[in-house]
Amino acid sequence: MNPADNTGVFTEQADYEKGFGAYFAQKIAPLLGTLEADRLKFKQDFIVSAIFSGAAAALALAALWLIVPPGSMGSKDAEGRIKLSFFILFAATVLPTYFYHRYGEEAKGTLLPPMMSFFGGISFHPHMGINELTLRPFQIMPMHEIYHSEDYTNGTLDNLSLELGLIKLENRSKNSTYTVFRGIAVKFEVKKPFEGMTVLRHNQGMFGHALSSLFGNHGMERVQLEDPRFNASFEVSSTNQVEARYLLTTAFMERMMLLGALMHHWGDDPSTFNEQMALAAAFSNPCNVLASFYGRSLLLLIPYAGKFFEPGSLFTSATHLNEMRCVLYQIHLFRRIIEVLKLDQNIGM
Amino acid sequence: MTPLWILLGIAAVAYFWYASIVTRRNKVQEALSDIDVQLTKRHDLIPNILKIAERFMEHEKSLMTDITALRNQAQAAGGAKDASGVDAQLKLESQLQMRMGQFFALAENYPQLKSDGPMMQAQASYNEVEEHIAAARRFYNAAVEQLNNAIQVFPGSAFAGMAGISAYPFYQADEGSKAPVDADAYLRKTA
Repeated sequence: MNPADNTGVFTEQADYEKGFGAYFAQKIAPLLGTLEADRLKFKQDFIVSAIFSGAAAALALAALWLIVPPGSMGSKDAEGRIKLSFFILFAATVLPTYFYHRYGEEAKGTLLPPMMSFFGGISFHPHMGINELTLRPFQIMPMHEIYHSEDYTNGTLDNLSLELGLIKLENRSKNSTYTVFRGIAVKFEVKKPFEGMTVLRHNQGMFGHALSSLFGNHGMERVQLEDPRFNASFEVSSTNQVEARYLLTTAFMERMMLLGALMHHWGDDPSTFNEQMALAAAFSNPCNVLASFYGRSLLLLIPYAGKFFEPGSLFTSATHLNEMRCVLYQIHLFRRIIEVLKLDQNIGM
Repeated sequence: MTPLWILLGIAAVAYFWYASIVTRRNKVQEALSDIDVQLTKRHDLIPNILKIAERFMEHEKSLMTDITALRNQAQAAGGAKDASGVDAQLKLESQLQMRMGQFFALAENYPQLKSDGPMMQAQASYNEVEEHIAAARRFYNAAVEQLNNAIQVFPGSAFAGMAGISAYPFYQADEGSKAPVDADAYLRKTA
């Protein structure tokens, strides 16, 4: 963390932060006083609830292991006590966790709308998600039973309409759920509509490809492209072989690989992230981004499990701007997506 | 019984091998049809472009006449499905593309033509069609590669012979396009 960020004054360090210092002083700095007061209150609630929950859990565990007679839980007594112990420990974390996340939501709701406004016509809605029905037609969502989304953001960035959100896809197993995808879904509206659908998925190898051919590919055919580095990362399918090649020129294929390199370091602290080195290594790492061209939009699914649009932390002063700087960098990365893929021009050029 | 099963197995493998070669040949013809669609758009655009340019490029009549003749030849050669017909068609289209490139380069010397609204629109449409032709060409080359790989290696070559399927030519840039551009010569010519 940069000590200079703990002054409540935003000093511009990167090109994409140009102009934010003055904007911060005018629109955001006045909000920090109230936010800091709230943070201290939530922190106090967190500590008090942690102490009381911890004490209650300790008493419950002591009672379970020292007072409840052995064999009370039947033949699987030890197993039952262990499970109950874990449940008690889990229950003890519920209230403190609530206060921890509550402050996070507060910081988001307070800081993100004015931060987004700095970039132009973008609106942020922390409790809304991107509508699953708008994503399904693109045919790149991994199969799932449960869909969660939040941090819905929409508007215009660099003259391009976009909407995005954090999504989490889960499946049910016998007694629990497991995550099949967690990351960011971002949909850009492009200049010209597509005639068919072209989809970029991860290369599943010969076996995976044979399976998808067997179970149907929604009328799409495999598209074999020329760049072996691109083919190592992506499996391309399309309803229109010519349009797929019109979109995926050799230049565009290279840009998708570069995008993968940028997204690989999505959550890195921007002060430590070296974009040039990441781009130089673009073709060494497989690209995890999924893409689909359909209708009038390009949908990207970017796997990501870290902090997304989190401008504040319960244990860091509201005047400490490191997290805000990370959020600025995340917003800037969406502009880099537009720039790297040249989405503001006709795609394929 | 065992020899019978072996024979049936060999026959099944042979059938699927033959079927895959025919499928790849059909893929090549599908790709050729896609190219033909784009080439038709190009052929339809060229007379309009030349008509607009006529008013401004009075000294380039010979080039425009050449282009018109090439365009007519290419249009007549269109729709070929056999390897030799396709080869001839692709050669003509490459020459036509090269001449149109020269035409647009020369058009840069006519500022009034450059800024003419209909001409700008026609050129934008032409560029779009060229991009689609490039994409269709890549599809064709990919299909030809798969077909040629299948029929140039034994036993695919035997099945191809039985089915009357021969290798198709790749859609390549002609020699004129491959030659390095001499900017000095171009500037001397247009000065």
